[in-house]
Order: sequence, then C-alpha cells, then structure tokens
Amino acid sequence: MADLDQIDSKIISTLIKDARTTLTDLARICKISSPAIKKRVEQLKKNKVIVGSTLTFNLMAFDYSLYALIGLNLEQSNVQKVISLVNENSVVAGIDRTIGHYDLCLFVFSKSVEELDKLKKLLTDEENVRKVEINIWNKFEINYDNINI
Amino acid sequence: MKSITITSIYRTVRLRVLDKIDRELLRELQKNPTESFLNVAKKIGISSPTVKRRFEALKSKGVITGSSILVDLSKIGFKGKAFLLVKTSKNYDFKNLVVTIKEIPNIFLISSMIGQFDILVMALVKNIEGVIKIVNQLKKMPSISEVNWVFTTDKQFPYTNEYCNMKLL
Repeated sequence: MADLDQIDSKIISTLIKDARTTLTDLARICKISSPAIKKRVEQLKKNKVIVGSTLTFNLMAFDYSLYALIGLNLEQSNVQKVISLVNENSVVAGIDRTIGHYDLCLFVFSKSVEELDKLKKLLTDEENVRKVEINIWNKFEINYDNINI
Repeated sequence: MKSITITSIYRTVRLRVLDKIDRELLRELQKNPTESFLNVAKKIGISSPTVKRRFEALKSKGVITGSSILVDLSKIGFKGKAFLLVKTSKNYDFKNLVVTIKEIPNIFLISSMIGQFDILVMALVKNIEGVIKIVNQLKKMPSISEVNWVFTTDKQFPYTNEYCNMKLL
C-alpha cells in the first residue's frame, strides 16, 4: 500500500468521480495551492496509484440495448480459452476471474436477446464450461462517496 | 436520509445523433480523457469553444456519462472487489432496499437484475473476512432471502469499458 495522506485521498476520490476536474478546482476542494496539487497528482501517477484514466460512455447510445452479468462455472482452470472466446464474440466491459459462486464473471453488452442467446449457446457448448447463468441488469445506482480510501 | 439517484441503464439514445466530428472528438478523448479542449481542437481541426460545446452536448444527450481515473486498488488499501448476488423476498421495494444497503461502507454499485438473482451489489474489500461481513449484513435485512458472493482480486478500479469503446468508434 502506498503512503497516502488525507489530501491524496481527497484528490483520488474527486478524480474517480470526474477525471477532468481542473487543478484549480482540486486546489479549492483540498484547500492547498494548484502547484502543490499538480505535484501530488504526478507523484500518485509515478507511484502507480493512478494507473490511467477513462471516458465513460452510455453504450445505449451505440444501440446496445442489453447489459448482462454472465456467471460461469468452469470444469478446469483453462480460463484463457474461454476469455478469448468471449472477447471475440461479444462486447465486454469487464471479465473477472472470481472465487465463490462463479468462477468467471463477464459483463457484456448486447444488441438483442438473440445476440445474448447466441453467446450463451457458444459458452454452453464450450467443453470447459459447466454452467452458464445470465442476469440482465435493470436499474442501478453507482456512488463512490461511500468508499473509505 | 441521503439522496439517491437510480438510473435506468436503458435510456435510449440513438447512434445517429453522432456525426463525424462527434466521433473524432470521442476518439481523441478516449485516447486521453484528461486532454485539454484546446489540444483536442487542434488535433481535429475545429475551434476550442466548438469542442467544449459538443462535449457538453454529448454529456447532456447521455452519450458521455463522465470520466474517471483508474486506480490500483492495492495501493489504496483494498485487496479486491466483492460482488454480492442477492435474492429478495416477496414485496420488496428496490429503492428502499438501496437506501438500506448503502449504509454498508465501501459499496459502490447496486443494480436490480432479471435472471438467477434479483440484485447485484459491488463492494471494495480489504480481505476475505470483509466479504463475509458484508454477506452477513445483507442477510440480516428482512427483504433479502439469499446472498451468494464472488470475490475477485482484480486491482483496477473502477471498471473500464475502454475495450468496447474502441470497437464502437
């Protein structure tokens, strides 16, 4: 774990909510000068606390109408083959190797139920895959304020 | 009571609202989300106020939902993420349940689902005991009948949908 103080935490939690927050705004929020903020952000990047940034899209704007969590249970540990299959045949927002109820969790965008069903069939036919469960997302709430960094 | 905003993931915006310049702008910002509007403007050959105006328009249309830095969880004191897979009892109210679940620290996403499970809860955890603790807290809630869990040590936070964006634009 990196050595972070309260100001670093404040910077991180602000930038998680909006990576485009200006140095001036960060300075105001953290009550220190903008050059000091700049130095801290650079240090956080150097220490690989901040590893990148991303623009978040509403994929519905690109005609993707379904978002699903696909939970897989696998026979053996050859996960890589299944991951490649998913990457080739769907639009994935996330692939997580997990322990617990599922062995692999896929977060997949799909244009239609037919498309999702096709992916399900592909996965079911894969010899490594023992069980496929699909959960389609409906309403959700995202909030990073509850995280204690 | 804290205010909550529950969003439907299925807000429909059509692809045709994006023209060539919008796409170029999105592509540039995807490459570097923190790039200044001035630099984006230079790269795609339009004025900086136009970039700003289009960016704001894409935001209000709901095409861009925001931007986020990506953080290494292990560097901010977490071991990984827990996904709690919840089945609810009869007559539950999603909004009320969200308010109750949110009282648990380090939860960052709650979604209702159709399928094997009714609700998905995502949380950052410091260790496996943290997962068990959240499971037990959820089980105590009267409108929850079953809680399953998965745990991942993936260190990147929040989620990135970078991969699919590149394909789209």
